[in-house]
Amino acid sequence: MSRHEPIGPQGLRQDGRRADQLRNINCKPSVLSQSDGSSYIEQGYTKCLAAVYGPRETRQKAQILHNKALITVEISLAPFSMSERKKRKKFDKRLLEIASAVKQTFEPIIMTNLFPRSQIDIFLQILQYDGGMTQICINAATLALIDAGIPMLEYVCACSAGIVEDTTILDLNNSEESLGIPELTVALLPQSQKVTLLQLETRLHVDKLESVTAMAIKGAKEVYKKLDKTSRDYIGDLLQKSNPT
Amino acid sequence: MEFRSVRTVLPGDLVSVEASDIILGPGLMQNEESIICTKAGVLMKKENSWFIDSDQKRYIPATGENVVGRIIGKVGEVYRVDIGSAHQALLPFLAFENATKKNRPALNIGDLVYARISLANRDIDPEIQCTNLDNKADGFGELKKGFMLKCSLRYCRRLFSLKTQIMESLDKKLTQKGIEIEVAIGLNGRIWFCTEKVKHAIVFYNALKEAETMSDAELLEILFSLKTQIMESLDKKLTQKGIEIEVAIGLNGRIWFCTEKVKHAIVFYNALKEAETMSDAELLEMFKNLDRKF
Repeated sequence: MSRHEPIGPQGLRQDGRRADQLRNINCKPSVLSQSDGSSYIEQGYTKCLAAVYGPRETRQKAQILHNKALITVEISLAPFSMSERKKRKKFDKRLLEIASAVKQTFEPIIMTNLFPRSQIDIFLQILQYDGGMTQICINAATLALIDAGIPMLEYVCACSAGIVEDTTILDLNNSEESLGIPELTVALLPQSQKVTLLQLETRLHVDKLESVTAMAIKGAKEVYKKLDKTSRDYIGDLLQKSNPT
Repeated sequence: MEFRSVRTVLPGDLVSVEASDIILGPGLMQNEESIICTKAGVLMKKENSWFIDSDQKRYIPATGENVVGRIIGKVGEVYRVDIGSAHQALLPFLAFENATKKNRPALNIGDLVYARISLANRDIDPEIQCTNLDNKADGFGELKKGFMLKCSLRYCRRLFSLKTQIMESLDKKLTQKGIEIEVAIGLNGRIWFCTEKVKHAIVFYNALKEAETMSDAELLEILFSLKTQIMESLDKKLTQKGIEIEVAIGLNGRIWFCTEKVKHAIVFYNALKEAETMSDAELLEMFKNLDRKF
């Protein structure tokens, strides 16, 4: 039945997208008043809320870095985020792994040497999950860090891509992820064209690596256009309103 | 010559400048041959000086700036003060006018102080002093009573640069009414103010909060805004009848009010509800004629 096929006869996926089509992105910076920076992003049906606090005093003396700021990332998946209600433990292995990947993505680009002995906390809350956890966490964190005014060399955009029956597909949703196909997440610095994260689930034949990576990079550039426009419009509006010069 | 804005920038944007001798301000960084923006904001330029005008809530200490801080502890001969930055600031007991080893300042934990940053460096805890460079108090020191409000850094900087104009216009108008407001603007995103009556504090707080997204001209206007007019007209007429109403307008969609008699509360409630769909002029008219309903 075509319902179970990831790609139907007309080259359309289960949700009606073409192989190289991203889901709809909706994003908004500065949604929380109590944190230093925050953002809300939706990619298709996956919804994520990010809050950034920092640079602030390090909580644990043992973790103070003398020459730069400590970046901590905490991801939590709401119990109502998936089709079955399930309360997840805070130290779920999968969430810890993704948090660590997000931390590694931001470490080279946040200018941590400007804030020695302090801590920058990034909290990510997934409100609804339909595939693409790492990518949405990175995109949400990027917007929240920009909103917090934390100096960065550039900002990161992420996208995932997979391959099924020799066709590369972009931006996998939950039903495609659960097919067990290889999924590659790429985090890209759009201006300098550098990659800060490359993460793969399951196994992928090395001959296919190039095409899947190229597809994911193309997707990341699309995400960049959307995030860029939203951020620029928001900042322009905010500062123009209070000082039309 | 004023700074003028060039364009909106995001982290990672490159700035192309032909001149070889330029001064880079906050938010810009030189990377070999190119200049990169590290913050999101509006790129501003004045002759050869460039900087990014950005907005954030977290304060980064810089020497010479005035800040409002809250005392959170005493360690040895210094106070530990929270100024909203990454590290707590140190305020030595001797950094007050006329302070000696025997004559210590009588400050407790939880008190607010207005101080000047004497030492700020990214590697060490910042230090503040409650005197100016000549060791005179000059307005620094303990802030008694009053109320502190937190806002963004950019707003505080604007208020600080406009302070002389604000002070002049407010001064004239308020002394006519016998209202006194004492304000301390900290460049760390904190504004403290103290008034005699609670209702004046509420009006001022609301005006400050609203004015955050207004232009400079409107800012000067709003500080003597619609709400004060309402307060004036109500005040006169109702005290003639011996009716007192205390109102607190929250910008979160909640209005609180308190009257002595229940029937006055009912009249006021109905009036407020009716006025929701009126224009500004009608609103003012309604309030002016409110006393008739009582």
